[in-house]
Amino acid sequence: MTAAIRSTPTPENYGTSIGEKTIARKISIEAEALWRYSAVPLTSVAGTNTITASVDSTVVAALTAYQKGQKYSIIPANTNSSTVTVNIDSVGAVALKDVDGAALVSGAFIAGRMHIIEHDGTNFRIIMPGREFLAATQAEQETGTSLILGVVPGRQHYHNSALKAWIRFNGTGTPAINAAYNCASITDRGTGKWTINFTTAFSSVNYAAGGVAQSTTSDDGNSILSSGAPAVLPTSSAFPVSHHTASTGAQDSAAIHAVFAGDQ
Amino acid sequence: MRCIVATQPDRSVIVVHPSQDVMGFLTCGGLPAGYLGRVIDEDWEVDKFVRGGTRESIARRWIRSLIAGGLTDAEAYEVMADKDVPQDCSGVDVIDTLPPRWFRDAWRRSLNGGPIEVDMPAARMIHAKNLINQRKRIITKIEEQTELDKMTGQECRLLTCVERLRGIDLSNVICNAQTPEALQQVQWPQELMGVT
Repeated sequence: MTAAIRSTPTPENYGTSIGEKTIARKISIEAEALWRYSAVPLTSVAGTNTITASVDSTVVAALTAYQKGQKYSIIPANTNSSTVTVNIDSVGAVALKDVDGAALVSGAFIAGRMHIIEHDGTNFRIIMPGREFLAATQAEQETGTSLILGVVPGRQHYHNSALKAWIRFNGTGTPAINAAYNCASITDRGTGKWTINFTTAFSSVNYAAGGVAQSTTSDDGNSILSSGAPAVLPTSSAFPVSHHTASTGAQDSAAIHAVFAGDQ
Repeated sequence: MRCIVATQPDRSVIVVHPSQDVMGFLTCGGLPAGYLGRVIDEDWEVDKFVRGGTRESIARRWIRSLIAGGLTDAEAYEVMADKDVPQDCSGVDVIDTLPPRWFRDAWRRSLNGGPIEVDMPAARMIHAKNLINQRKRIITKIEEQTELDKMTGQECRLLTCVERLRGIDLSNVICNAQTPEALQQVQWPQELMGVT
């Protein structure tokens, strides 16, 4: 086939002396090249790792061979669990690689998401969406199993390993929050007793807390920060803490540090 | 920053100290981009508070206020008080200044609100306990030091302090103190507290 010239032939740029048939043939070459390099929708997509599909016959005729530069838009029926091959119109199974030409890892070809793939002369490669554009959703962050999705700052805290709230406050004098995340206020319930109120709540009371407090008695290192007494239990939206020392009982502290992790 | 006070059924006092950041979100444009992922599913967030014992109407107002912001200072304190003051409390007020914290557990207040007062019998009990603990600690230290002196062949010079401390009776002074300030003045002699 003659290569396209990237300029639609007209009598003006080719001259009238070459004849209408020649002009028509050259236009046809241009049109075919445009078709070849535009993304053709694939239908009847089936399989998880061994994928079969057909070109949309309402748009183009069935394929007889793959050609370098051909692009297809494809929506996988299932998310892949290992390397992937694609077979269009029974032309033959060809490996599907990532944008860099590396084998796909599990979860890289995502069910329901439209991808653009291109034949590179040997394999297909996913060219859109590229790796760098895939940000994990809240659910994907919470599941925490994807090896290919990116984490953006606004969703980082949804991962199970992430702290959901933390606070440092001064419990002496007029108690005050020095710094905090996801803590709306502290409730002073008495000497050495506070409740930390979250801005947004945990999904249940089954979350974890940790903390330390600065001892205010110079000769007593037995400073203990504990969760509340049975009468004041943690809830999904608030966590009671009390600070006491072995020798003095409940005692205020100038620096109480607490962190919380769990599902929100 | 101002704080929210409320009276518990036994007339003791709780004080809610709001986070300056969160007050800023409530009174300005709501949660900023990136904080808590910013995109808040209202029903889900409300549901979690309800599970924690918060009334649904209160939780919904709180979450909507967080999302939208735009409250006046008074409204922000109100939604925070609704969320964070326990339901069995009464007399909710926003105040600027709290009494000295020395007798925190003796703070009492009317169920209808009003000023915080110090309950003197409770304050005397608190102060007496503190003094007893203080004396206990210093005596323990002196005794440890005395043993060390003995074992290392040095002169035992502090035992008289223990006897002096044990001999002091502060009960009359404590019972006669009529104000928190007067009570706070009742202390062990300074020269005995710093002996070690």
